[in-house]
Amino acid sequence: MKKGEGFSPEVLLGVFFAAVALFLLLFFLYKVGFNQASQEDLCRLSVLSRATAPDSASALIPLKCTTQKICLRSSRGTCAESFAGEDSVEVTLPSDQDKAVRIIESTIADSLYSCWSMMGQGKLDLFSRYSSSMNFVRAEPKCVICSRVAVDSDVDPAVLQKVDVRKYMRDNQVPGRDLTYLEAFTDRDFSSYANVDENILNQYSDSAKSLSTGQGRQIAFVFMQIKVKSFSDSFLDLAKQAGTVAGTSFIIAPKTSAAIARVVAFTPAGAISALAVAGGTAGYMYINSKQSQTLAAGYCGAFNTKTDQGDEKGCSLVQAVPYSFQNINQLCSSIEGTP
Amino acid sequence: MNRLGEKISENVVGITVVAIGIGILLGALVIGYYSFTSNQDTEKAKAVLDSLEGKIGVLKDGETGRFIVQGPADWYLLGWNKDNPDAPGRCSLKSCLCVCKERIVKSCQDTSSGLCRTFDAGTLTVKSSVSDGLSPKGLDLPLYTGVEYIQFPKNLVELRVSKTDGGIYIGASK
Repeated sequence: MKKGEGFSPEVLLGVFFAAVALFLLLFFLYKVGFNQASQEDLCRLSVLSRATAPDSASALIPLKCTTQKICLRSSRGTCAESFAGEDSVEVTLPSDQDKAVRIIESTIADSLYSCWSMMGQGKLDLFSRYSSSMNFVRAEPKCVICSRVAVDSDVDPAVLQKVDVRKYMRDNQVPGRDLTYLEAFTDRDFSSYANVDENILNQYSDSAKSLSTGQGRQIAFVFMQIKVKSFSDSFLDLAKQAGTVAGTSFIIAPKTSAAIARVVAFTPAGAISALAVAGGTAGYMYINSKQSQTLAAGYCGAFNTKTDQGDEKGCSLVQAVPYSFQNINQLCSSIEGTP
Repeated sequence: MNRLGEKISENVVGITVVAIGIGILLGALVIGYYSFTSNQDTEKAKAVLDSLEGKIGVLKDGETGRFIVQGPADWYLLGWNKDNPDAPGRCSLKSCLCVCKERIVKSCQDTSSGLCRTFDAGTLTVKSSVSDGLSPKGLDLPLYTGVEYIQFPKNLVELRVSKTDGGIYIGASK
């Protein structure tokens, strides 16, 4: 062997620069990267990461969404009853009632819109798992609590009675956009989208008024999503996957695969067993699919995000609910994100 | 033979360089993944303890408060009195509230699977909504005798916290 052969300077230089570049990347990730990103940016990034991952891997990507706490207070209030021990953003309401009403309305409208926007506007499938997409388990409504708005007890209840979120969302534009809040929710630019009907607008307004009477005077803005795949779609997917597995096994181990195929296809016991497994699986998937659709219909009611992907049913929505564990747990089987 | 030796030595160098590069790349991806995901359960546990500490601090003696918490799913809320010698060492012989992955002291001692907070109270009692002696998962788990627990569900739980006679009592609403 000639001296120096295999250790050319170019190769060594290339490896050295690659190692330096990767070291800098590691340093960035540890020290600089995600620590300084805003909470919203982190949430958006995690939402996009999960939505673009395959179903089998999406569970590995946590949603880095932290519930934002907003305290609406008078000059002396602290929302200690609601947010003691928690970091919160404090918004001081002016003594002028009309101005205070506007601030409350804009806070609620902004909370609703940012929740909807951050979670993908209902266009992203965030909670799908392989087991539920194949109807091996029943689909369940899953949530992220985007934010909680609390009103300090020092704020006059008469102010809250004047709040009209519905009118505010109709008449005011989203900051930075040329659409009103209502138009942004109905998203004139896209054809398949959630419809915010009168019931939902009334609910938003009622929730705001509940701040004057509800326990802790607090409402939560909750993104909920439930997605159901039809039995035909999931069974077809399963059949395709089974075909892929069978084809692959024939390539890797043709003799063994052929022997198994002979047993299954040409012996009574094998054929009956295969049919029983296939039938049982199909039946189980069918039952889960029907139960999931019934559950989704109950949760979604008149509010349905229709997609153009076959018979997929379910919905995505943002709810403004008085913050109690009964209200939230009735809506959400599980909650992700950081409180 | 010399040609074969030369070819092998050339390939070994190339393979080694490629392996190092792939190793560094994989390491960067793994570190990046863990940096991004960190440990969300531990973050939730910390948030629960921070919230409870703040809210218990606001309560006056004789008062009861109801607090909604979102804990890490399937983790446990456990409490020990200050005189309990079996409490986790990190409790430092004070009344102690812990959020742990498992219902054993070892889990509460490990920072990756448990967090604890001490309180200035004579007694700290956690009462579960499950009957005494029964475990939802059966009796074959290493149940810590004498210590009840509250298991966090996948959604929210409401805790009722009472401050009475220098003691803190925590129970879960059904």
